[in-house]
Amino acid sequence: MTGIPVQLSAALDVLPRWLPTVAVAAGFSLLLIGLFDRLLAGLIGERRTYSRRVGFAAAVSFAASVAGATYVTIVRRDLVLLFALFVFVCGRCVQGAVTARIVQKVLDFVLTDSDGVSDAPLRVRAIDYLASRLRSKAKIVVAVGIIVSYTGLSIAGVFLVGNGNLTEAIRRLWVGIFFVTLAQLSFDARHFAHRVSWTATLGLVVATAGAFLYNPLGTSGVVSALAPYLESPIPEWTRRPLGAVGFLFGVFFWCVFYVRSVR
Amino acid sequence: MTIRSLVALAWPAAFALSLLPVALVVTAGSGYGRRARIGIAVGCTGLLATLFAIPPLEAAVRWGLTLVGFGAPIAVSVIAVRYIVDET
Repeated sequence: MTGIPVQLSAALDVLPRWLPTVAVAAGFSLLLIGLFDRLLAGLIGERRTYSRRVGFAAAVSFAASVAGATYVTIVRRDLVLLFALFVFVCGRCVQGAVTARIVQKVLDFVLTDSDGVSDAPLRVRAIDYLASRLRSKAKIVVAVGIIVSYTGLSIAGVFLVGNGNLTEAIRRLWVGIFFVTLAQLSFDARHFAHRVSWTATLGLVVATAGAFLYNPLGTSGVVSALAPYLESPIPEWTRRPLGAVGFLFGVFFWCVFYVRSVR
Repeated sequence: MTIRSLVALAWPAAFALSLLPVALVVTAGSGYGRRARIGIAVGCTGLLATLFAIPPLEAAVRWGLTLVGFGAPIAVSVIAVRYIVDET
């Protein structure tokens, strides 16, 4: 009888210590490959001797050299944490822009008149609008629901069939938060991934989620409570501002491009 | 041998190797012949040897590539924001 709980506990056991580092490294490499592949295709793609395979090989090789050089430099100069924070800010940028886009859509809806097509009162139209928004968000709601219940089950497993170690439970919670971040960012990525490059977008998403785990800025409210349990706690003064800075930069970039597109 | 020393050896090789196909595509497309291809291969090998032989040059190229590495995430997120606006 004890076999089943042990297996259950092992199945729910998701606490890889290597996850943040590997996620940042893999995401960064994917991002570089996608970016350089796209850049090379733009630069020399018109030439008749160019083929997708050669371009991709050159992009992979150049990405390897950039990733290797960056790795050597940041390790020698002790800039690993700075790099992780930097990647995190870049990912938050996208989230800031997506939020600004949503705010703009809501403002458009509230400020524009019903233009004769629909004479329904604002309240009814607002409910219709919200329902359509919720329908479009159904996938992310389901994904987050699955991750949250899995994490909850996993944490319950620690206390019910495991050794009840609090550190263990918190680490599992953190992995759950990692996957929720991944899901949220991937959901935001649907707006631009097909235009930028799927590889680069996937890289940005994975690297940002890894950096988030490496340096848990996102849930700054609970960070101070969890800090002693994290592998690489960072100075207090960097936590809150950096997440906000990345977000605001995203809103700023969005404003710049929006103003340009409206003109 | 640590990962760091391995990567320190590998990145110049990857750098020289990445220049090779690009240069070959460009020269072959412009009608250059066999001698140009040999010149490019020799040039890439020479670049690799120089990178290993002269540490200040290696450090300069490494810092340049590091800046590219730091620039890449910003570039992707700015391009992404641009397309988010376009999709609106």
